[in-house]
Amino acid sequence: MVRGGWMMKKFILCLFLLLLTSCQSVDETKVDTYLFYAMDTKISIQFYNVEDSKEICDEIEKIYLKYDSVANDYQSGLGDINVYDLNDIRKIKIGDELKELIQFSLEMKEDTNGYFNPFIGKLTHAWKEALGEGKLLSDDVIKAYLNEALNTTITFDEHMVELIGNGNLDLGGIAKGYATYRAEQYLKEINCEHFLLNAGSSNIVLGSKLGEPFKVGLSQAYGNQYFSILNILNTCVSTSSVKEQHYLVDGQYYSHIINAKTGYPANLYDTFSIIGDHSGKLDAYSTACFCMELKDAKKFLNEKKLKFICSKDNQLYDQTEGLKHA
Amino acid sequence: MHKFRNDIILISIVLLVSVVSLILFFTLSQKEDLNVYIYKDQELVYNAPLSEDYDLKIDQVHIVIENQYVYVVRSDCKDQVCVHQGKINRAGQTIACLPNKISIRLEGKQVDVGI
Repeated sequence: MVRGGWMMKKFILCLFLLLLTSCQSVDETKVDTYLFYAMDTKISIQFYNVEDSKEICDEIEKIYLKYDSVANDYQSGLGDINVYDLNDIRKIKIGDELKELIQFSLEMKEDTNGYFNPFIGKLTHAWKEALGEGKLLSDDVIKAYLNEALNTTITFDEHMVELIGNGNLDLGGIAKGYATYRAEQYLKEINCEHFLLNAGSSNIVLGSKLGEPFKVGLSQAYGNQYFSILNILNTCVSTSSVKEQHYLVDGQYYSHIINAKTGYPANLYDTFSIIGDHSGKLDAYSTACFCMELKDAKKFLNEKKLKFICSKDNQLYDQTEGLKHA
Repeated sequence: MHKFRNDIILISIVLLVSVVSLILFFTLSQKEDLNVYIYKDQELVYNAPLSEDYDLKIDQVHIVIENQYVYVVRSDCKDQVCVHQGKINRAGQTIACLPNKISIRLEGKQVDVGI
């Protein structure tokens, strides 16, 4: 009896010590954070226990700078023949990156049934200028630019390309997503698994946080709270949002995203995020879905087996069933 | 009988201390301790808890940390996006002044990245 009591005391003492020692938080994770600027965006990368992270970041920066240079439609002379040059000269020899980007944009035009249209360059520029001055475009101007876009095509002869029609090319809706896709491919090639790549919030690629999911906060467009927090890993998220990119004209907010079907700024949602693989496609799809009615967007994404979450009036509006929230 | 009673008291005390320790540990570990990271170009120029009020100027960008918020009061940039972003106080939130290449980021446990 005495021996049993003594054993019990020892057991409880051990349990007590175990509980106390378990309270010590041991965190030896090495987190390396880098950031750089490209495509009018701040791009940040966090690596978790990854060797040579600086070299990896440098390679990723090169990818973004390359696509930044070729996709620019506001300025010439950035070292590569770019979209501005093509819009200006109409027939020109281009490099590999611009060629693949244009071909990808044509694929996305087809894939989204024209909700993403790379030939609405004149319309997007005209809207940006008008909204920046607090004005709206007239119906006639919109119709004219839209017709030009719908009647423009592009031909390829090896690296020689020609814009046929009066529309201008605008790859702004996919360039960052495509560059992010290339960065994602590079990270896969070198077997880098524990990272978080954030290209200006609109395109993010997530590995895992040493096996654990990331908590991704979805921001309100007109507030500073999160309307939802997702628990996800090993995936990409692309978001089209009016946050910080809306204009107030005559008491009404207008988005910077132009509906390629109607020619007007899209106003159905505050934010539309799509979760899946391939940042380039997700970028085009989020732009397209931002312009679709909800039932059409859901049908479109359901066919592609992609998950989504969208907000309106600063609140969760709809989402795919089964999304994991924190 | 007396010994048995002492054992019960000892067990109770030990269990009570253990439970209180665990509750305290989990409560404190859930508490959001936010840190402010400010970068100029690619260089980290400021890193401190959000609870520490501070006022700093980097180039022509005036940043204020006060009352558990961080925000840009003034900037010489053309678009003023950084100023219009207002006050932030949640993990994962950022403010960026692209023309001046200044980035402010809040880091905490609740959210890894805000989009």
